Amino acid sequence: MEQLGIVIKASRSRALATLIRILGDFHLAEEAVQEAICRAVVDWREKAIPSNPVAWLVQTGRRYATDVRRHKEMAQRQHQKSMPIEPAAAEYDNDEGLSSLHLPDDQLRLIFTCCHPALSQEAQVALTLKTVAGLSVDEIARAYLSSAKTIDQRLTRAKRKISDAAIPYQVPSQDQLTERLDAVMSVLYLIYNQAYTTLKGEALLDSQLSGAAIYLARMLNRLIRDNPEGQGLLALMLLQHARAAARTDEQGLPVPLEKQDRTRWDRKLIAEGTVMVEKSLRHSQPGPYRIQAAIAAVHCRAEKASDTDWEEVVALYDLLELSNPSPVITLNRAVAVARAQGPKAGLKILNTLQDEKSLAGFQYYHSAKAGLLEETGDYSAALSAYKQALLLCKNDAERFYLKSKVDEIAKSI
Amino acid sequence: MQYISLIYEYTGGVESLSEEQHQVLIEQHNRLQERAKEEKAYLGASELKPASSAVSVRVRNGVPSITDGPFTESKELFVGFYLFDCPDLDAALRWASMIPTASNSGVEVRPVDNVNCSPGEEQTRAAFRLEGDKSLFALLNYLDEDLLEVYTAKDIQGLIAENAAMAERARASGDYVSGNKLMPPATATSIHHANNKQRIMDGPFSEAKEVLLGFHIVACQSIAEALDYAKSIPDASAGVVEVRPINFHEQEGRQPIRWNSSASS
Repeated sequence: MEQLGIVIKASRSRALATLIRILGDFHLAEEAVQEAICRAVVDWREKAIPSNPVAWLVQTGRRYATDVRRHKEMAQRQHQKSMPIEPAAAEYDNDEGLSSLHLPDDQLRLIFTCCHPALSQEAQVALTLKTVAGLSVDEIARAYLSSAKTIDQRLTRAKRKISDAAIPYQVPSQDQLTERLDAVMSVLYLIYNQAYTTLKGEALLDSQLSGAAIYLARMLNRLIRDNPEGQGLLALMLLQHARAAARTDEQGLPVPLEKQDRTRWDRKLIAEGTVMVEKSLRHSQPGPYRIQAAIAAVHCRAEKASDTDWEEVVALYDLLELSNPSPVITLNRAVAVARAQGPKAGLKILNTLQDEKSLAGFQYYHSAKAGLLEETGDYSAALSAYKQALLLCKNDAERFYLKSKVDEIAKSI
Repeated sequence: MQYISLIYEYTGGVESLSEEQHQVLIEQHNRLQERAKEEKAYLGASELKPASSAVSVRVRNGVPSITDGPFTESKELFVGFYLFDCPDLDAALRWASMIPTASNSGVEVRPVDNVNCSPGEEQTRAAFRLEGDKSLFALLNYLDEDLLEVYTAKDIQGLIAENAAMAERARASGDYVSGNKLMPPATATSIHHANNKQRIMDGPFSEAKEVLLGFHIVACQSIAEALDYAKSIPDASAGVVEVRPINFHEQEGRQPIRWNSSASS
């Protein structure tokens, strides 16, 4: 990307965040920042990139918005001639000094508004990707296997709710901060997961969405320092992303962790993620992101699959289960225990989940169980569990793998 | 901005409580109201009588049909509401989260669209000057969500005008107390209670297809009179109007327990 493009991309969301605060109008602010960018492309190429591009965009955008508002007012005045004529809206025109722009605060305001729990989670995701990460509607639509029209409607509806219900443009007060920060982190993690599970889409798209998630997590950590869970979230993304290249083979089929070519893992990302995880764990009582990041770090540390410190993984899952008990986490712990202490020990834990309704339709529960049963030599039970997993599987690549397992075991019985 | 907090319960509400539990509940409400009054956020509140006392009115092809009970068989029962005046949604959610029901069933928070007939001083005072044998009734306007989607702005203007006409007629007879048109359900936010925690979510609380668009409160001698007003509300022709008596508490005399005149002072 040429220098101009990089500067614009880096400045856009900051300028937008400030414009929303100054104008008090999401929609107008988006229009204004778009216009300012169009003018910047011409102006900056002709002259030079200004010393403070964000301030330049904010001021240009603000002037544009003032014009738009003046035109609207004029039109209204002509419409209702009896209305007293008020002086031009001077408040939009007095150029604030850069020091009063409070840019980092505005970006935080924007993130918290986009991830407000009064918006549906899918709206939170779309709004964050669009306004904070700067993805286009088309890009979001492709990542979520949806149409641009649907995403556009979702964004319009969300912006309308922000204005109609008066969702505030502010950083939540101290008593709400923890909860609201959790909401922001879960949106970022949701975005990352979408990227992570999009096995089919083009690699480019995949990396774009995960790139956006990592960009957002970095931004959050820059804006809120000393937030160990936020560091854990970023570390988790980095450590998972480090393995992206090895996750699929040439045909695009998924490669399980044990069989991945570890030379294709990104060592630089692993180093960064590992340092971050260690730093974040210095604070007491790690939450779910830090623990999951620590688990990812254990895997990344092992040069060969057989080098994996499964005892440590089990200990971390114990911790995770304690802080966030859920059947899925117990399932993961069972798999880790099987690696550390043998398939029978793993199956013993899985059996405690037998009546768990939420897992009955969960493909990975059945495939994990099938794998462990197969290891113990109980082929007929393994076969029925593989068949159950196959029935629930919606992903072509995984279905291919499960089908081959079913055929293989059916033959050997 | 004014916000309404619609209170929903899964159980029979007050009916299922012991006298003691009921007293605790009333105290919680009183405390909340005191705090909200102190901070000038309180506009009023009403507790409706149990859903079993409701009567639903539908007018089809000009013929009204009246059925016993609330309009829907949904499991969430609308039991009352609060009106708050707040700078933004977060402030409204903070008040709503203090409503006791938010800690066992749920509350919906929706901005109030005051274009039609907000409670004026005179009307709100009327609630305290209930004379003769008058009781208070809430007329709740419900409309099918799908219909709402296809209505044009002009259709909606028509509905508003007819509602205003009904309000005017009741006002002329000295029966009108207050009324509010709510913003569309798309502006709603709900507090759901699950796993001992309150959770904020997008959308209305009730899963029923019929959504609450607004309400009127009238003071009438009998439910028959209230039904007469209900019939003339256009929503009865397109959707349904539920008529529900508002609760009184003996110890406070002939006063609707949670209705306060501070809206006007």
